[in-house]
Amino acid sequence: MRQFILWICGGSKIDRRYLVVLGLIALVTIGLPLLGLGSLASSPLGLDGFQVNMVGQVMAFALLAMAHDLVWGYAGYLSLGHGLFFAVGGYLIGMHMIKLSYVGETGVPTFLDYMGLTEFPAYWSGFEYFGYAFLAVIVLSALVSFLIGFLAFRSRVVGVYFSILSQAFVYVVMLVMSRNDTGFGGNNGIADFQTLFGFSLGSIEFRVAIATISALILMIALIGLRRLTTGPLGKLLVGIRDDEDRLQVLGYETLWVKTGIWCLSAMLAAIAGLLYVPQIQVASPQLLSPIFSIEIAVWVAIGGRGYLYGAIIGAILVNVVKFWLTRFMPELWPFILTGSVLFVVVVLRNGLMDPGPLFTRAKFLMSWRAKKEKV
Amino acid sequence: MRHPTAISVDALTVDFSGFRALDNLTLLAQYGEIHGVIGPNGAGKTTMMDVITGITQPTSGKVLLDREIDVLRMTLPERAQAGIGRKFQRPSVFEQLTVRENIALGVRLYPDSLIRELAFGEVEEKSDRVESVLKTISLDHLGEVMAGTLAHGQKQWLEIGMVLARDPKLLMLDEPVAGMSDAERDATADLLERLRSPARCILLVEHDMQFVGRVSDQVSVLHEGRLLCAGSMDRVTSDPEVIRVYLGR
Repeated sequence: MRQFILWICGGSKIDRRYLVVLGLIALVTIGLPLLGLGSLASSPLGLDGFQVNMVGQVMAFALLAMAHDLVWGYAGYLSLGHGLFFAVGGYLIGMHMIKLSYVGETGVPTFLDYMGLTEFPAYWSGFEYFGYAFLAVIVLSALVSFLIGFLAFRSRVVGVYFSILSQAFVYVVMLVMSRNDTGFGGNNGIADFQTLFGFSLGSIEFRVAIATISALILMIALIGLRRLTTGPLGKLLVGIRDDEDRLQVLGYETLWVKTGIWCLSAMLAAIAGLLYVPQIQVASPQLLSPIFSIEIAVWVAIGGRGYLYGAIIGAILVNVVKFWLTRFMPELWPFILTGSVLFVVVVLRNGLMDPGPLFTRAKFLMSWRAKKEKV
Repeated sequence: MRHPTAISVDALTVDFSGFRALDNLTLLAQYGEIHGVIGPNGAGKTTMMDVITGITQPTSGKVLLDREIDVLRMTLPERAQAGIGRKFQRPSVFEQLTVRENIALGVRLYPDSLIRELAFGEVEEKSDRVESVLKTISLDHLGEVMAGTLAHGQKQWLEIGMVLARDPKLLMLDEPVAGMSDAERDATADLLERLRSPARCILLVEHDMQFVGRVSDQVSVLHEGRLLCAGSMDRVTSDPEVIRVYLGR
């Protein structure tokens, strides 16, 4: 048993906080089908479709945040464009669902009809098969991220320049996808999805299934990334973050380490998008808006960078509050988000997972007050 | 007996937008020796090491390893793989990793494949190598300590150890005893003596003339980016040019 827990933790030490977060996700994975379906669903403990949906979306966001943390917290590169990869997964699974509802039928969705097309363009072919769509998600996100990452890292773009560059990419793609002529529904995006794997998207069974799968994938990804980052690769990443030149002089081609991690992160973000879009039933340029990409970084900053589970906590916390507040007091949300960012920047610079700065600050204030009183 | 040349720096010039840090510098260092490089501040000692490591690109000139390998055409990691190791002036160890993990970063069982290294590199052979390096630098009792908590002198040794883990042909040490106590200086001198090998050339940049005189076989004096004088410490210190540069006119 101990051996198994150590295997899950990676490395040689047991990390209690990591295990707690992992247990929480496991609980969600088991709890969703129990409370969402069956006899418990109608009890006071049960979850309705909206609540299940909310949990599922938060799980997808948590996966996205963790992917972001892999690049920011470990390699030290702040991406402000992770929405790009999220959208790749979202749009492609959207294409799959649209194509699925036109199997054996003629005609095209309105957004293609609008362009004067009477049948699907060539790049839509094959999308009626989930396997093909999934492969496309992985390949396209890897390809796009490789191009961006390789070019940026080879030209030694670092720090804030990298952030701006990543932001520019997501912005450009948003502008392109907002055009009606691009063929993806312009500003409205693609919607009108009917089914996935034979389930109607609105049915409670589907909602519970996709939310559970999201939680399960989040759990597997957390264990996988944890083992990856506590292993030798994690040490290399810390080395890159803290002193890249030193590592190169030791004989490491850091370009490939960075590009590899960047692509892995992008693929995970794309999978998160793939899980997210069937739940909100629309893929629109909103996914590509710079504001959303910045929000991803905010979740990670609030949770705490460089722990993986910190990003998960951040994403869950911010989004649960957001879901709740935008339902009751939507006008307050921007202020709360800004306030929490300021709180993290000023008081808890390493996020919630590292309360250290709070105590040193309190100590500093106390000693300062004591000094003042003496005078 | 003269040993074969390890590194030869030939007519090396580095211009930093108008300021000439290295001016036609020529320097030879042999295997088996500890080669001291001294000179006043701004003489170009660190710049020379930066060029050899690949951090600075020279304006003109040549650097050859083993008389044939053109170092300047290689990337930073390629140079490390070719056997060039460097300890920086400011101790740059990875403070968030333990001493043992720092050394382990230096050890490469598959120097030409990072993927194989990450997949199959965590074996006994590696930890054996790490332990032997830890013993060499006398930090074996601190293996599990975070590198950030080490004392200044210990960090210097740790960084030497990280470089040593690759068993470099050319070991460049930039001010290894700066800020060290007398006892630490003695320990470092012993360490350098242990590192001396017929298959290795140690290039030592140091301000502490006494320390250089104590460990070096050969000394090169740099001044304003040029080689002023080379030879044994006694010869160099009696050279009128060197005296003029160090003591002023």
